[in-house]
Amino acid sequence: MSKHEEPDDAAASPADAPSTETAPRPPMTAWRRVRGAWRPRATRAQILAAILCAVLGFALVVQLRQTQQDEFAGLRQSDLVRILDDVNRRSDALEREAAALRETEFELQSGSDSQRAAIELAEQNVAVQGILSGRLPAEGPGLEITIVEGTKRITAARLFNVLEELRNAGAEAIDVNGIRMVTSSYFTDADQGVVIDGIPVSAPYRWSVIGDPQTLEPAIAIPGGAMATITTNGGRTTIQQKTLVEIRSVREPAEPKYATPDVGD
Amino acid sequence: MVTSDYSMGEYNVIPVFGLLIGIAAGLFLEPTVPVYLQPYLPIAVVAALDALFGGLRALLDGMFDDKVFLVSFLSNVVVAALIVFLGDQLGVGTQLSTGVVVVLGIRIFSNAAAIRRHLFKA
Repeated sequence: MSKHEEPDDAAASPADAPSTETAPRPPMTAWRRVRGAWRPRATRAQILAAILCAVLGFALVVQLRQTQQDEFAGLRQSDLVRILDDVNRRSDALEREAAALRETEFELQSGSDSQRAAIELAEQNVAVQGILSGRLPAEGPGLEITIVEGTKRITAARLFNVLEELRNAGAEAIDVNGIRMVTSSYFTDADQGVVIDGIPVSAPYRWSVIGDPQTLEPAIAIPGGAMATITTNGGRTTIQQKTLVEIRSVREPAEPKYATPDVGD
Repeated sequence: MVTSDYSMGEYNVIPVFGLLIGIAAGLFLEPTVPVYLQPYLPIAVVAALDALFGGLRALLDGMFDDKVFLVSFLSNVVVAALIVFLGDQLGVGTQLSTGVVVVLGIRIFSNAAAIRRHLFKA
């Protein structure tokens, strides 16, 4: 009636075959009650197999879900460590790359900044050098000086002294009768007055000077100075401090023929 | 063999229902596998599948025994998990679980071949 009565097979289940298979099982009281409804032999084996199959199905589905949910869930520790190492290496490499790119960006930005600063400085220099070299018109506080000849002629040397004293006192821009004074300016004596930079000029000499008036006036009017020498020789001078002196005359500086800039240090 | 035919008809129904109920429970309950069980569950499932196929073959051979089935099912699962656990402790978990899966796979194939011979005589 049942397979249980076939005791002659040792390899009953290929999965495992304990030797107790052939021995008659002791009746179980718990199962006997269940047997009331069904055939005694079938019920127990069926329910047992059903329970095991249910466990198997449950575990199978759970494992399938687990595998689908998380690709890392089924991996063991060593594999996970290897993957983590890979990820770390990769993120390290990316971070290094990002740092290098940031550095490049910074360099480019600071490069353009320093270039702009250089251009600004150059523009500023152009203005400063232009005023000092007489290339640009200028305005600012300073002095208006008028020198009128007396009976004696005012020599070129005395006028040059005035120019020198003004320069010493820190005059930044000087104009004499519409002629801009530059570093190469010269005075020579002529029949009528003087010649300044090749242009004949006669008295009265009007000087427009831009600089600190408080410094320039005492310097030019110092006893025994250039002005004093002119007045003792019969000339008359007037010195006026002004808050705004305008110098419109300009002079294009000549290219240096012999001197070249020394770029070395 | 009268008993064999009779038992085949009766025995197959309820375990199949059990399998379906287990699958449905797994689908609806959506449990998460505890971390400490995660390395062993796949191997245990394969071992249980082996036991299932063995039981099926025994059924067709006419020598199914519920106790043998129970013991083989549980021992298969426990031994497989134990081997994997041991392999993990020894640092050869990956290789050993591969070996277990290969062995169980071979057994499943041979059992399936025996079942096929019973059903199709081929």
